[in-house]
Amino acid sequence: MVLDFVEMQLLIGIGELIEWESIVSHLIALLILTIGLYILLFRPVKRMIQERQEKIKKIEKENADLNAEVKHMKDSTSTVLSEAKKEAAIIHENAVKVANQKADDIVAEARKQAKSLVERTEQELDEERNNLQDDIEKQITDVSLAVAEKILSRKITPEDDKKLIADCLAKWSKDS
Amino acid sequence: MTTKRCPARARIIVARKPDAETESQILEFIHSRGCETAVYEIDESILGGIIIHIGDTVFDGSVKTRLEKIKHGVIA
Repeated sequence: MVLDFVEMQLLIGIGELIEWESIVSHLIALLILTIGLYILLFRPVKRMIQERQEKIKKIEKENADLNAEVKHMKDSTSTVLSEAKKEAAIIHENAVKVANQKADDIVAEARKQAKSLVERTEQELDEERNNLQDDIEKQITDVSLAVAEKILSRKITPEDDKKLIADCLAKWSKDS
Repeated sequence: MTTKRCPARARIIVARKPDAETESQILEFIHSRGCETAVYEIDESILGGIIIHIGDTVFDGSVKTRLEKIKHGVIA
């Protein structure tokens, strides 16, 4: 009983305390505040967030493009590097061939010059040998003649001389 | 051996003085060449034989000249 009485009194007090006009006005103010906040704060913030999201998406897209480009460049670099390596190998091979050819040419030229030098030297040696041989023959002949002259100067007797002169005169008389 | 002119004197070169018989043969020869007398020269370097000058013509039958010819033949 007592409790029912208290509850009743409380409900009466609350009913007296609540003013419906105030509630409505508060609700309207809240609504206006909400609309104002929505217009003045939420929409710009939302727009800003959207812009930032778009910006982020754009950056991500650019990043993806850059990554793709980097990947492409990396692939391209690998290809170029591979081709450069192949080209370098070809150049190296050609350079080795040219160097070997030049070396062969130099060796061939050196051999040719050496052969020519040997031939010229042999020819000069032959000429020198022939000259020496001629000189020796001449000297031998000179010595032989000198010896012959010495011997003949002793060995030719007056009779031999007489016969020589007679033979010469007979020959010259016959020839004329 | 042609005689362009025949001087009266022939020049005879021998290694030693010839005997009378040889001189006679020499004179006979030079007379046949138009010369009258001979002038003798003794030159032992010719070793033997005789060289006769009659004008521009020379008859060379010396041993030395024969040796020289042999020498040239050997060297050639």
